[in-house]
Amino acid sequence: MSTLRIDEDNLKNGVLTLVVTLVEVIQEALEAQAVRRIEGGSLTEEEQDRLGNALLELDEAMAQLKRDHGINESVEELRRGLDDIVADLVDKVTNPGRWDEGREELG
Amino acid sequence: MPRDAGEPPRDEPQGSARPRALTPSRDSEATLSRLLDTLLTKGVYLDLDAIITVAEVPLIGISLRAALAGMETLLEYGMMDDWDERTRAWARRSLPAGLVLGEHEEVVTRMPGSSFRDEPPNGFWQPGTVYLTTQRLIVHRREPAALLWEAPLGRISHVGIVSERTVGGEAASRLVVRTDDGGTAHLTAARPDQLRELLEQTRGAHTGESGRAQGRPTEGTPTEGRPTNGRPTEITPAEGTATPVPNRADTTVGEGELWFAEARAGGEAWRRGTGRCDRSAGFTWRGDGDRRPAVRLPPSDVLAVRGGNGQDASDVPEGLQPLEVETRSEVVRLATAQPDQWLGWLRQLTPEEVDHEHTKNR
Repeated sequence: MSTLRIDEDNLKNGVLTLVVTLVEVIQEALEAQAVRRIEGGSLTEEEQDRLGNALLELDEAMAQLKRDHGINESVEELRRGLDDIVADLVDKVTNPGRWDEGREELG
Repeated sequence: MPRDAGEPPRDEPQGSARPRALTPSRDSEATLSRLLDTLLTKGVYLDLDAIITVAEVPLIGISLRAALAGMETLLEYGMMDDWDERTRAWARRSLPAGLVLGEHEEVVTRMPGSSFRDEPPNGFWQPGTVYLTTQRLIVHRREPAALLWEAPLGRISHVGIVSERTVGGEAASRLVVRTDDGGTAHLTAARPDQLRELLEQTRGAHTGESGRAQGRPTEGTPTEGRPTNGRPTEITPAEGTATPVPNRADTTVGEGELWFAEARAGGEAWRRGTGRCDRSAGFTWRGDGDRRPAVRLPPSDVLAVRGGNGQDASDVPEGLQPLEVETRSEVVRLATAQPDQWLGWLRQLTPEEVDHEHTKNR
């Protein structure tokens, strides 16, 4: 089983890491949807430019934030932890057979 | 749930076989980002009815309909398309509507700034963005879109930087822009020196020599539309050979404390203030704490100046000497501790043929 490893020594750092990580996940979702909208073809050129610039600015701001606070490493680690949880979850949901395995292990 | 996410069966448990010294790599494709992405792309629709009961007695009912999906997915299903259109139409109207550049017009620089709007009672600063284009100097506000101030570069006769005390008590650099129609505008910019330098360069490059021909000082009093009570403590004339107009310091004859007999309902009352003689703007007097000059006499209006002996000094504040400035319509009564100095300054404004018969001092 995976564990979330948030730095206990520095609560502030941990909270910041958590927030930044979540924002990063949302940011990636937004970027993916932006690509879909642009490919959908309903946006004007000006809107595409604006959208692209805004996302770029957000990306730069996030990178700067992480550099400023030196949390690149911890964000990476948290991302891996979260991804492991999701992977486990998806694995369980898509393969109901594993539920029994887990139960057997416990039992 | 994203059953059709193309999730391959996972490989055997990671971790134990993973080489420790290397960066961990992911052999499963299920990450948080991908999960979210799949959810949004497919869309989630929740239709929930529930009743909360206590002791088999229904107490609270919930009827929940929720949909979460990427906008493109929602549009595919024909949901929220009106809203999408309205939002984008609003952005189209409000964003680019404000600043329309002319043909061959390019933005040279832009920076945060503001323009002063001289409106009763005190006027106010309107924040926006200062644009210097190849043709115009513009103060534009993006939201709500408004063109706060603009002037074609060819009509700007002088740009000075004035250090002023703000309402908050700190000194701030203001740009004083004069146009050749006599108007004066007060602007601020994040980098005033840079803006002025670029403006001079741009003007030199694009208007050529046209601005240089008008070697005439601009009209309008220098204190007109002054935004705060402060007095400019430093006036830096624009540098460079392209400066077409003598700067303000050239036309100023003198400035100093001066009393003025102000007409009131019950007769005249002496007020202390600042007088100023300027060859182009004439004589102005502004009372202490006033925002605008109470007295404005263009040079052509000053017919004669009298002072010193022969004047009735009985009602003048103690220690001061009276002066009189005669104009076509009235006689302005002033008082000062330095009558000689002021007589000299004021006489520089009067026409050559002024009658000097009363001008002898003690």
